[in-house]
Amino acid sequence: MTSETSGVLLHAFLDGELDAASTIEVESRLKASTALRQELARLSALQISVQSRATRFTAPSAFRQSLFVPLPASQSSAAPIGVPRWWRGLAIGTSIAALAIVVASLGFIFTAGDKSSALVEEVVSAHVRSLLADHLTDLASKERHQVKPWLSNRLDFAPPVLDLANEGFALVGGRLDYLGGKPAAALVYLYRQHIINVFVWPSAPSRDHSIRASTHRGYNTVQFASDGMSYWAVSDLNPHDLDKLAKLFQLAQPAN
Amino acid sequence: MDSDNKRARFETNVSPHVDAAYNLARWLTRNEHDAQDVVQEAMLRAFRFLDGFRGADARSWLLKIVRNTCFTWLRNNRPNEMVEIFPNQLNDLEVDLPPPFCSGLPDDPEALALRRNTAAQIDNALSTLSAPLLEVVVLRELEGLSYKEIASVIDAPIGTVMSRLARARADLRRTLAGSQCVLGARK
Repeated sequence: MTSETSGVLLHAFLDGELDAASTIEVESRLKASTALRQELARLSALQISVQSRATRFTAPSAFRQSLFVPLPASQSSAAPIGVPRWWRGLAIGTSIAALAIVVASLGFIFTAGDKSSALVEEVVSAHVRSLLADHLTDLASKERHQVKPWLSNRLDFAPPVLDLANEGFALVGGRLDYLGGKPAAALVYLYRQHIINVFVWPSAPSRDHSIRASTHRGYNTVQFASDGMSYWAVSDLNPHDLDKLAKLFQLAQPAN
Repeated sequence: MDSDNKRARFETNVSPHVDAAYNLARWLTRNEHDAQDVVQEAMLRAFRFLDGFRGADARSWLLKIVRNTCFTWLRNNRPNEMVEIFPNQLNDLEVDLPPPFCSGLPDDPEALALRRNTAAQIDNALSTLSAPLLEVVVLRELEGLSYKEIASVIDAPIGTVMSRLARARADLRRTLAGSQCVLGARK
């Protein structure tokens, strides 16, 4: 790797876009250079700030509806008010209303090669149970200073509880759970009306900072480790925003 | 019935990605009204082109149409925002690690500054980017597309995606960390 390309390669490393050989090369350069590590930390700080705080505009619902509005049966040739001009043209001569358009269920279900399939099954089941059984939290509180001690007093470890309200992840509370034969903490967050369970339990310290995403029974999961803890986050939230949550947890840990 | 099927297929493929389409158009046109016009125009084109879509990646397919509609709109309405990026400008950036934008203070103030920025500051910094840089940032950081997907949306080689992203992030850092450091140093 020449110095001419190191700048761009560092970005690709940050974005998880390098092949194995280049990743190893960048890692060894990072190990050797404090300046490069500092540079990566800055790029990462910028990325997390942009990803978590920049506005992601959503289509106003009236506008969204105007894009897909079906023609009423009785007026299928009369170009009803509210239907966009372009759509009317396309719809003439058709009996669209006869077809109750069922937006295909987006709960696409596939299991993408997960190795720890038993655990992912447990984790997703725990998430579903928490939604079904009216038992989302044992302690409902927005205050991390209440949730953290409550969990710590009942577990043999102190799970990190983050206040991520500024990033849009509102803390709902905490719950005790039991996963992989061990007690686990479940932190419950709400993001744009999506419930997220973040399961935490202690694990051997690891230098693996990867975030592994998968989909199981229609739910998205991310798995990662940070600061001697193993994490699984599960939600119907999109993988991108779950990844953001994972990064926030990883970033929040004390450096090094 | 064929048109009904086509319409159902259109809605199935497109409706999950309306927010992504709108977000890209909203950033590039910089206002709600024009974003809606552009997305509506793009939807019309997408419907026309639907027969050519083979169903691999509806999001990239739709975003490519939205992006091209946006750029046509920008060329007609705001040509000054379509700043060309000259290749040698990009090469200059990659010569070596850029110097920190503020230094001489402990605890890497730049990284701290970058973490302290508010949503409004970040949105403002993004809005100072020209369209070719802004689109790669929006697609990567807000929509979570891979380099390969971005390359397909903007119809450029992956190398161009990488250098534009690097360039955009350098500009953002200058805007975000620079102002924060000056403020911090005065306090």
